[in-house]
Amino acid sequence: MTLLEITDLVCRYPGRRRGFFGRAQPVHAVNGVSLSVGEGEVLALVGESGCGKSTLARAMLGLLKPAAGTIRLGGTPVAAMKRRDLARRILPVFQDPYSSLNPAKTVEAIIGMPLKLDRVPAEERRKRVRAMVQRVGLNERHLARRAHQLSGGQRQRVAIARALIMEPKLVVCDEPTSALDVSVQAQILNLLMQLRRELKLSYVLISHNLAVVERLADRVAVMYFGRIVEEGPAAAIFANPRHPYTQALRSAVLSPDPDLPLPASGLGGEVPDPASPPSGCAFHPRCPHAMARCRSETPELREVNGIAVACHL
Amino acid sequence: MSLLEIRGLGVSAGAVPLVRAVDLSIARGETLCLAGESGSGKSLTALALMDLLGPGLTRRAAEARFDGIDLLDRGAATRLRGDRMAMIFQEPMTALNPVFTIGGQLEAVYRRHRGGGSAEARRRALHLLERVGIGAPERRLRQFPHELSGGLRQRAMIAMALMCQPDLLIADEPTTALDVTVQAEILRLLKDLQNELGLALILITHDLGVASRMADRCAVMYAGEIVETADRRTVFKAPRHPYTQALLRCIPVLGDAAPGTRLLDIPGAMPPPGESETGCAFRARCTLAVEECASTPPLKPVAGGSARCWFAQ
Repeated sequence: MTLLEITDLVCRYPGRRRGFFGRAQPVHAVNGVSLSVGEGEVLALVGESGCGKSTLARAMLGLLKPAAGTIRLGGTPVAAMKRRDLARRILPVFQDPYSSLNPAKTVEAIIGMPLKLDRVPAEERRKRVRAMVQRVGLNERHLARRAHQLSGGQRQRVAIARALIMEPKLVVCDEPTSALDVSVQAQILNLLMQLRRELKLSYVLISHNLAVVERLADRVAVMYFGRIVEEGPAAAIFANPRHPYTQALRSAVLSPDPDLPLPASGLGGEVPDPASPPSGCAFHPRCPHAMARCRSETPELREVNGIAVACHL
Repeated sequence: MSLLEIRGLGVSAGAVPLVRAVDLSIARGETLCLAGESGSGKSLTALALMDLLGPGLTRRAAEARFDGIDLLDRGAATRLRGDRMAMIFQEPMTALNPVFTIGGQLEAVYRRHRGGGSAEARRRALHLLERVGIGAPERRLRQFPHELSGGLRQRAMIAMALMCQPDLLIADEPTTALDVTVQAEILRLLKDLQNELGLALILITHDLGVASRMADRCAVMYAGEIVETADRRTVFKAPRHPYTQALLRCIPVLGDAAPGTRLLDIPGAMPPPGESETGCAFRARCTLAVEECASTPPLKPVAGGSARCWFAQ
């Protein structure tokens, strides 16, 4: 059963003006993306900074109005939903728990805020906040504290509790452990896996760490320059990445193994400037296998054996 | 003979010790990784070596010698810094001066330590920009830091560090702000330059994957102390300290376990400075901790290196 369905989504930002009288060229941060997340499923979005994965997440959360395309949650177009209804069903956990928690409020007020906005009576609010705090591995002592009195891991637990207090179906986790140390990262990943099982949650997980993605995700969508270049079951994609970009990402992962050398060489070059996109396949300037066709023709996402790849090869 | 020899280095903020009893030595051509989680004191150790500690922080050491020169003499440290000892930082955007061109900044380093006219400095800057893989170096010299991408800025920073042919390069999280595909290239560049110039390299990183590929020797820091130091293979294949052992088990490794498998984590968080006065700093999180751990363990020799644990063999 599909929970979230995204069809041909395009998100634009106003670009920089060229000269005083020049017109701003819009920058396409997300350019024709279609995706779906099933109930209880974890979909990971991977790609380098600037590939559009966070923009896509903001669009899902209703924080950004797409220029074209639709997002449906449980069959209803998100654009037609009230802000509050949407905020009850799909919630974010951001990368940096230092900036996403209000420093002036206590943990109890932060976690209880969505309930308060929903006019839940104070007594029930207290009960539900206490239950949620236990669930994310904090205890009642933490309720009176403020964000600065907590460690990074505890802050991320508070952010997770705040997201889950409304009992959403879908949680969008944008780099949930990137700001944390590895020992704490493991705690938070374990918590996310446990909550998913207990509460039958779906996640959209945004991460640049492929090892994290492999642990958590059922399906993976690899993004490059605003498009999906490869999408399919996580296990299949990690075992046998088809797109040269996915292969490059895969081989750039440095597992702690003293017997392995440094990866021979990176891709060379960097993500193209969105104001002047390359012709054809956006990846061709960095692709080791680029052919003449790649320069002229944008490859379509084609599905073979459940894996969709956008590449001429 | 080692190039740099440090005994009993400490950094404190007033009465609060932040780094304690650090011994380091590094030979020409060697890579030493300082690994640890945030707040473990690895950056402070490097800044103390360079005499770049911020206001309110004081350093002391029993001995600090660089090629026979006493680093505790501030005049000597100032002369060496940028000349024979150079440093690059995590975020080159903040380390470079935004209001001067790349060329101006590179040349200033050279002229300060070597004197001479700007023509000679410019020749050297051009040569180095080319060497670190920056295309069109003539144009880049005239550009400002904001006109360069993150990867190029880090390359420019490396070129700047090499202007005076240093013997020692300290790299503080040089690839943490970069995408993984760019990270591989910068690491490769550092390795190549090291081999070519016989640099001693101190690489500070929280990423054990990076450390495992780059280091000859590795020192693991926790709560302001070195808890284990050994050659790379020992640290990553047969670590002696319980913290190193636990830390390595926390890291998700691609292809290592089935999706959804729990990660081993280290409960709790690193004690903030000043709170672990006596005893082993790791004992609150350690599975082996016994009463004896309330007295501070020395860094004692073990097979392959040394470890700060009563139980290490």
